[in-house]
Amino acid sequence: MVSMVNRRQVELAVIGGGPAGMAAALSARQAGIKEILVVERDAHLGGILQQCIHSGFGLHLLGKDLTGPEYAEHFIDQISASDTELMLDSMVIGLTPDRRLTVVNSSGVTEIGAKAVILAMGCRERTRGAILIPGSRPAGVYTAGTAQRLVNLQGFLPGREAVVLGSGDIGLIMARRLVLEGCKVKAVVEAMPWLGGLTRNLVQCLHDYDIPLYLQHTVTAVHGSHRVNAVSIARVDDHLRPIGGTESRCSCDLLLLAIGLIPENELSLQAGIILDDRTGGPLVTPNRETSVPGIFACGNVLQVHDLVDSVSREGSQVGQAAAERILRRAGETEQRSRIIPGDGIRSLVPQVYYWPAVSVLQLVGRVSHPIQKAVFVVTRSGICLYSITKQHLRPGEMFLLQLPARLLQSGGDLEVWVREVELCD
Amino acid sequence: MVYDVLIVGAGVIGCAIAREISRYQLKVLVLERGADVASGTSKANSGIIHAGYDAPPGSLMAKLNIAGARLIPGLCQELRVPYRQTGSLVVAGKGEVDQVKLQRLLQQGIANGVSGLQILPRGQLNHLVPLLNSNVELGLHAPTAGVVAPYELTIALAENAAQNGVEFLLEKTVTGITKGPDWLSVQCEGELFPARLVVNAAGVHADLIAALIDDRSFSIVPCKGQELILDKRCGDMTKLVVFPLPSPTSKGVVVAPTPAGNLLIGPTAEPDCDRADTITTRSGQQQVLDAARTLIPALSIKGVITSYAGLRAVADTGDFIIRFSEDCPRLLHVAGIKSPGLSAAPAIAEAVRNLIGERLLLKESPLFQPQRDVSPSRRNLELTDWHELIKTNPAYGRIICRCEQVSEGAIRDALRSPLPPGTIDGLKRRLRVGMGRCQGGFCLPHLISLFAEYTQLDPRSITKQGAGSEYVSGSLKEKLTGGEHGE
Repeated sequence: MVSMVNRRQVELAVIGGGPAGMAAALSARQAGIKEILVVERDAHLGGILQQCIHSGFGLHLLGKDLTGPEYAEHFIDQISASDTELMLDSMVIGLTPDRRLTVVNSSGVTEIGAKAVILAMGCRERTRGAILIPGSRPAGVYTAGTAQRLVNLQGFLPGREAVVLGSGDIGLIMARRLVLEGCKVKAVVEAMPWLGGLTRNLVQCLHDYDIPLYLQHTVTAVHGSHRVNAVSIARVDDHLRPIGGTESRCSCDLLLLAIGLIPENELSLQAGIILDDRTGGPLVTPNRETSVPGIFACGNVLQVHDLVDSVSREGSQVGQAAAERILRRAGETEQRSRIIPGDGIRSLVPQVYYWPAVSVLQLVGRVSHPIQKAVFVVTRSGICLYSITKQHLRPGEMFLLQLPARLLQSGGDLEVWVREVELCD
Repeated sequence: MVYDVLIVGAGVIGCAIAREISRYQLKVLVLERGADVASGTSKANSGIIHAGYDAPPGSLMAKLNIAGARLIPGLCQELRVPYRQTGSLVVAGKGEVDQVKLQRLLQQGIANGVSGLQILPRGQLNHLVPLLNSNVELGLHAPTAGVVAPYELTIALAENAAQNGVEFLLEKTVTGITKGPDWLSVQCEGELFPARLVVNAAGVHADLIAALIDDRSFSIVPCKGQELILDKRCGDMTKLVVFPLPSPTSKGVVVAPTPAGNLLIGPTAEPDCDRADTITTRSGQQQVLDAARTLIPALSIKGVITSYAGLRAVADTGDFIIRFSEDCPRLLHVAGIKSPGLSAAPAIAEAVRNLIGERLLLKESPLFQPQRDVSPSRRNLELTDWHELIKTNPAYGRIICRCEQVSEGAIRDALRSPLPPGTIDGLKRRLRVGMGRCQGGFCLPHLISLFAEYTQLDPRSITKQGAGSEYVSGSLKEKLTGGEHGE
């Protein structure tokens, strides 16, 4: 008996059934694609939204203030009403450059060939091990997202007295969640001189709940043989190194880590996709097509987004682009040039543009440090093509630049940089 | 009931002895203070099977390293433990002093009976370890060296021993030993375990066990070692174990591939540590990184996924202690088993069996099964085989640990094995759940649920490594019924 895995062929395969994947699948269907398969490792669609029970989702896209599951439901309802095929509880363990997926689930191993693939796998969290926090290795050290799942989906308290390391949104949201569930949060500790997450969360999660924030501090050791009983916290210098003599012990039984999200690109690497060091996600064109033809990326797998509304918008655009790719069947004929982040810019997407451009080029990105009032400058071969002034720029909040198509009729690498200007300029 | 042999300590040595003597018709009990086998030194060492050139000729260490290293590959096959015969390289630079040291190691190795040893010039090292530091001039190549996961070997030895009738009791700390007429009475808090022979394989506590019958013939001075593990993406940086020249106290910081495909760097050597000191330190971690980079400069902190520390049980006698106690002929010491203890383990077990044979009749058991009963593991399955396996049981297709591709089926099998884990760390060491780059971020909530469901335990009592290390402090619903903090 020859054993064979299952084999399938579809038009479009979407890896990940969170907000990015769902938006992409829906818009691909609207654009005329019939065989769409969404592969999702969890038992339900919704991705990380399932565990985000706080509100603030959909303000921009839907004009409503929804919780994560409610926002997800808006899309899940549409998916259910469509003919989109779902493989839930299914893990994609392989992806090839010629767009073949290997999927494992309780029915077996399936090899799926697709005319186009959309990557929407989201992020994983940076771990204690990756930043080498020394000390003992007791129970009670959790990344914030893992703790969020335990609390919000499984009804467990991971501890009673917490210290949160990292002031990104997930850290701030979980600090508030722990207080709401009756825990004490003794501090949110942040190594940078500024807040990592959205400004509104500083107010709505920390100030409103009397949780102290210590900027330019970090956790230097974990204590407790079986269960956390304290952490050491120290001030850091401008190079983020702990300053000797500033260490103090803070007793707690829970250390929550919100120290960064890493786009989950294991499959992308398998497919030979080139990643951008700055975003951690694939290098993409304005259509979000990666360096491997026919494979697109959207949502947090491409770059860590700040608002799910923009994830959904991006997903829609990518679904459309993938559909055009499938229907057109032909390869790219446009010319391409690079977009290079310069001073003051932490990351930019897309990293490649087409010319001659037929529509506005939307650049999203993050600045490296907070700037009250700034001018963005886009140059090509040293000549300024475009500039615009913006205010209240923060690393925690993505910016958007819109370059008119008329500026991109010929090629050449673009450099984008930002500088601070006087408030009265 | 009087046991024939009671082994104190379920590390790799205690479990190797248990498995060896499970060949015979003996009533054997293993007592372990931790919540699982391999919860002390055996879970934290580098996992290197040394070829045997780095031990003083004529010492027990040398003799048993050579014999043990020869037995390891066959043993790993019987027990279905992944083993890689990588070979090893001790590297030396330009200086004459270093080159003399390397020559001495070669001679020592030949004297000890190591086969295949050769000093290779730089030209021949390039294809063995392409990323080797350019300042390396010579390398002592030992093809018989290898790597194994020490906790996997320990657990496999224990499971096979249990399969063959050995009894294991966990979370039992020995607090007293008294002499009976034909036996020793081993006390664990309130309980008494009589045994005709007691084997002291208590690792860093071996001298404390000896002191229970006033035997103070040796002391153990623990020496801490900190290790770093790098992502599987770095696993190819070397195919061989790379050593610096050894120092009087340690073999130095090595760079070693692991059977699972990660890279291990370490350990430090921090002598005179407390018996319970397994904390990692920033300076220790930095020391490991710096030292490893002198061997392979391309190594970077960016690849690190975790770090941990363990304690070597160093005896003040300078060699392994494998002999009966002079104060008590029913107590057999197997102490001071520091490096090359892991490599020597199967040979130590045989030596101990011979000593036991001097006191007890060893009658072979016809029921002895040398092959460990083990469930199918993803690690050696082709996709088509995995597909077939899932068709027999769909649980093998539900992946719980994404990084290491461990299925629900595999987890259930582990919870049903002859020596099932009682802790999440125990599951981790059997299946590698939580050992990947996300370090349990994805799978831990699922593991807690699965564990609770399968064992019918309250999720609040599920621990990382035994009582006191519970993951969950309470459930949200407690608040409503006015728990501790309720109004």
